[in-house]
Amino acid sequence: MSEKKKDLFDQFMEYISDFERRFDETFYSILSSFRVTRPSWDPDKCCLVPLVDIQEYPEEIIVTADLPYVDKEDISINATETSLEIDAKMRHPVRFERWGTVQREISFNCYHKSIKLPSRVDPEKAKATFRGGILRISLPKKISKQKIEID
Amino acid sequence: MALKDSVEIVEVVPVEVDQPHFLIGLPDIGLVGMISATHLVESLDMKVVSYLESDLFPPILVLHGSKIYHPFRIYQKDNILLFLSEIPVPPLAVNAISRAITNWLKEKNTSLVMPLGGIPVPNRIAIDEPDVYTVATNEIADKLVDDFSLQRLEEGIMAGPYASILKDCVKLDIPCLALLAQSFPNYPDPGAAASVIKVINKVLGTNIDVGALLEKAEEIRIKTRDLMQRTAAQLESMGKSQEYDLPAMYS
Repeated sequence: MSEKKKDLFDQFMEYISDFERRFDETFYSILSSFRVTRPSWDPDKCCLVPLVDIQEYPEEIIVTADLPYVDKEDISINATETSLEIDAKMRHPVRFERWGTVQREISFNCYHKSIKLPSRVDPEKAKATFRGGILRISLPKKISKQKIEID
Repeated sequence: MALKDSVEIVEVVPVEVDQPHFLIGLPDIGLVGMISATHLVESLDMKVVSYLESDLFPPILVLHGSKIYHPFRIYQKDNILLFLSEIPVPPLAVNAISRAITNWLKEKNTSLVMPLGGIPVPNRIAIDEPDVYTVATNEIADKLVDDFSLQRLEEGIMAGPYASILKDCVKLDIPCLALLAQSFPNYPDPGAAASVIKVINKVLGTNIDVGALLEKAEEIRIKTRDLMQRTAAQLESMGKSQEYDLPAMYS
């Protein structure tokens, strides 16, 4: 291949490689945004899905939920070995006005979240606290441990 | 023909200002920067003077009062400029935004840049008033830490748009003092934003009322939920979880 053709070829390959890299980055960026594009609200039930964080540790799972406008006595938590359900009623409805095209005004008065837990837990030993609008639930895992001796 | 990967700063009105202070409030940990920036815009009645434009940005605009706004825009009040964003910064655009902003700030002979943000702390739920830590890029910014009895962030890793901006400020020798408040990692944190604004009041001599911000805290937490969720996903793709890591080097 002549030198001139080689330079053009190298430039072309560099362009293709650059394009592929940008395509991958854009594609995965779009994919990651799709993970959160389902609505976080249910207009029929006037319910919001709260922000929730799940942290798994060797002996327990900690679930926290951000529940503004809620008092402790209006929170209901139900757990099985594999799932957790949080329901909470707001102190007063939250209204969004002049928003969207179909519903120019919408209000919500509760939260609801169902969570599939990453490991089995013992719901009878669970503990919950509520401070500063943040609900914190500690769920001890159901673990059967066996000691292994080292030769 | 290469893809256009530059970011342009379009001045809506000529930005003629002498040695301005430049605050930055981008969606980040706890949305601390964006919440404090929005409160500053409202409290100081700041006006839009510029916006950022690039092929790297998603095709998104925002509507307020039926008016169209670019999601990345710069406000001004006297010699205070403020850059905020209403959408998460696309990872692909982080370095280009940083270069465009810092080059523009160098042209404007900026006296001080202040990125506003949060540091994730696991026990934030037990903290009534978050502390604010600082990261300074040169001696001028570092002197402010002692002058105003602020705390330094001594060890750690920073990831995301502010890491890029701090690095570029070091390169261009622009005084930059990042204010980072202890914050919830994944929940909007108006309390942390209030702590940051108290430090701004000290350093810039402003008198912004944080009481008004704290009164609206629950409303802010509800209204910024979706942005927080999207921001958390974007930050993870930028390696934000490395801020929890212990630094590898030791002395």
